[in-house]
Amino acid sequence: MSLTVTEKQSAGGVTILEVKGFIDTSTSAGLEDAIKKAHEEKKIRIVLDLSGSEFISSAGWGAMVAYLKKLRSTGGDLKIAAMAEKVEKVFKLMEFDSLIDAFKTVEEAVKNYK
Amino acid sequence: MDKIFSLATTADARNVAVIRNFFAEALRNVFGEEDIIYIEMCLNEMCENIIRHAYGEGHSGPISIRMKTSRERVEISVIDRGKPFNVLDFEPPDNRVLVEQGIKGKLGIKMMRKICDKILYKRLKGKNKTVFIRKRHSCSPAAAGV
Repeated sequence: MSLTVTEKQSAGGVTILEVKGFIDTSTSAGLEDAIKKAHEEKKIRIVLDLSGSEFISSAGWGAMVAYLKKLRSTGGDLKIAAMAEKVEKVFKLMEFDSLIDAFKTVEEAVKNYK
Repeated sequence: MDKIFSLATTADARNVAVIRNFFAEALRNVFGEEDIIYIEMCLNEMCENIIRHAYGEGHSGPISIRMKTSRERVEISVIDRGKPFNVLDFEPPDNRVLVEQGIKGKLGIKMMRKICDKILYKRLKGKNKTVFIRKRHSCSPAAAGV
C-alpha cells in the first residue's frame, strides 16, 4: 500500500494537500511529513483533500490531530475535505468532528478560511 | 447458524491489509457496511498493535485470527506469541487532551473500545489472546431480504 501527498496552492494562501492511498502505520509518516513541511514553510492554512483515500487508520488520524495545536497557535488550522463514506464514519465514531472542521468539498473548506 | 473463519500468518505490516480484506469479505453476506467498516478498523488496529508493541520493531512472529459470526454478533480472537500486551491496560485520552498535548498514539485503543461491546484478554503459555465482541448493528442488503 502506498501513499502520495501532493501540495497545491489555492487563492487566498490556502495550502491543499491532496492525499491519495491508504493511511496506516506504514504510510502515515508521509502525511505527517507533508503537514510538517507545510508548517515549516509557514503554510499554516491547510486543507487535506481526502477524496483519494479510502482507508485511514488511527496512525493517520494521529498524524492530523498531533499537528492541530502547532498550526492553531500560529494562526493557522487544518481542515479536511471530501472524506469517503467509510472514512467519515470513523471520523464521527471517534468524535473528531468536535476537533477538526470537515467539509464535503475542497472548495467549501478553502472558502471557510476567508 | 454460526460460521467460523480463521487465518494464520506472520505479524507483518505487509499482511495487515490482507487480514482486513479476508475478514471483511467473510462478513459481507450477513453484516451491514457500517459493522464491516468498524470490524475492519478494529482488526487493523489490533494487528498494528501486535506488530508494534507485542513483537516490537525488528521482530516478528505468528498471528492467528479466528472469527465466529452469528446473526447477532461477531467474536474475533487474536493470538500472538509476542510480549504481554493487554489493550485494556491503556486508558485512552480525551480528544481535547490529544490536541493539547500533540499526542498521536493511543487512538487505536480508543477506536477498539468504541467499536467493541466487549474486549477480553488472557496471557496463556507465552501467548496473548485478545477477544473482541461486537453486536450486529447493521445487516447486509442480502440478509435483510432487499
